[in-house]
Amino acid sequence: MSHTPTTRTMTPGKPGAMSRAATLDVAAALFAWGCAAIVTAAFAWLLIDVAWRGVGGLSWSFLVDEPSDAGRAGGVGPVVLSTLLILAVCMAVSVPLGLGAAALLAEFTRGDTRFARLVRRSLDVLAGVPSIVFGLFGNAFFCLALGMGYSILSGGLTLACMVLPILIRVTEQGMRDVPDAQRHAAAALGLSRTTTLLRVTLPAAMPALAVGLVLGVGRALAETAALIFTSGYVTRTPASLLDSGRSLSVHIYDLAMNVPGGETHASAAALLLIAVLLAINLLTNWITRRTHPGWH
Amino acid sequence: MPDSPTHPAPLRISELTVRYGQTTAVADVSLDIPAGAITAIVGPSGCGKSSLLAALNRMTDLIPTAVVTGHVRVGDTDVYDVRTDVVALRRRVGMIFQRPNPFAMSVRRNVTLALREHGVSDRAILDAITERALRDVGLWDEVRDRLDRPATTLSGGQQQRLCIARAIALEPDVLLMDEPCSALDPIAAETVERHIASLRGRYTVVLVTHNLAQARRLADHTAVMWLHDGAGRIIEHGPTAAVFDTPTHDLTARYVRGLQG
Repeated sequence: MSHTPTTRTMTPGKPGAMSRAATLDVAAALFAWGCAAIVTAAFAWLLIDVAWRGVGGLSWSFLVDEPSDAGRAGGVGPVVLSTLLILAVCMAVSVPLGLGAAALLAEFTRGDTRFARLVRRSLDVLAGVPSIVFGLFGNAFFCLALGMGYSILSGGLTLACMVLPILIRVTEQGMRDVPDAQRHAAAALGLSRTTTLLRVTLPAAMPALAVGLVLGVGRALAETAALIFTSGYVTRTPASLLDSGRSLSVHIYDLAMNVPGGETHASAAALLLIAVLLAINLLTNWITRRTHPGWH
Repeated sequence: MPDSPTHPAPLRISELTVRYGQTTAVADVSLDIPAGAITAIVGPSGCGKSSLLAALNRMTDLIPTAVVTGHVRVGDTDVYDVRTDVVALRRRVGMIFQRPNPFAMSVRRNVTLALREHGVSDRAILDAITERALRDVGLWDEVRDRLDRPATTLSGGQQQRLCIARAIALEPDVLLMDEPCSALDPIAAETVERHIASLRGRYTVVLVTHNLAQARRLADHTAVMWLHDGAGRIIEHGPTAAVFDTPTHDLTARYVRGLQG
């Protein structure tokens, strides 16, 4: 090895000459920076594009008014309300269920039981199922079999089915990442398993839980295919959870694809959707920081 | 509760064996540990010291493959009796780990969490116990102004003393310490060691250490463990001075002179 030319170029004391290792370092750094720049640029471009087209259509009346002329005019008031209601149903169901399932997988099954493996495998498959399939399932199960019809409830529950796999897996991983030393400390102090879970593991897994929640909400808010067949696409203001309602993403899809001349309002609605997502992201971050200052 | 005296209890270990699957970590250990004294368990790495210690408060229950046979008595309690309440047992037998492991919460909550779990809810009593426990480990003056800051912001030595305070806040009868100073810098280790020494008489302390000098400084009694046929056994035990100055076992003699282990 010591007689190869490589080692000669690496000997110090040659000013101006860059060793092969140093060249490689620079190249790797450039590559990493380049990748990061491309990703950021793509996101920035998307954001600027949507903002550019949509910001003109945004106004207070756009936020609260009923749509008219198939969405070309008026606002998105009822659509925003429906979206928030669908999201609320989805979260009210998926967060407790997700936490429970994640706790079971991470804390109460000893790693590799057959049951735990089965649950994990099912979740991974579910997470990859196309949303249209969830839509058809939701339609068949919640709308027809359970008789909920096209409703915000059906839509929210269908979304919950879709969001759960991600939420559970991310939360489970977060709980697993809590060092065993914390569990040992809790056990040695005579804390019960439940107290350990509620007071030690869960709080320590909060940041991961927040990430799971943001990913889940993001997927739910972005969803079109799963909602068209379950919560419907009527633009009226829902009077109860059993009324049908149109979500923002369905509204955007409809304006962009089916309504000639609806592009401006579609962009405005898309900008609103992104703003809501960002707001939820920041809010979750803020709550996590506030409640667990030791974890940032 | 804050003024109740502690009742250091003796430990009686008889024919204790700890297995992990096919491997035997501790084989047929019998040892009497006197109440209120500091007893050191020394020996080379991997000789089963920590496994022996973990079997005393049933931390071995947390390891799926661990099987323990034999008997351990803490005072009048048979540790491995099926009727024994593990939660109550661990409240009486506290444990300090090699690496400080405070919870990711405030200094105060670290001390009060287990107290609340065990039914103390009066804020004044909790405050009094917290102050006393922190004073016992010399931490009160260092943290009295930041009781509500995250415990993870403390230094390593402070974290370890907080862990000791957290354990003694429950007024246990026995404290098990698994190399409590080995992850600390020399100055922090010296401070922790000084406070362990101050616990003598109030608690029965079982101290696992591979630091012979520390055992000699701290312990009233010393037990030497050695790997024999692949399993840890106690080859010699007695008053610390006797074990170090007039060992009866050849391996002990070589070990304490630094020639083996």
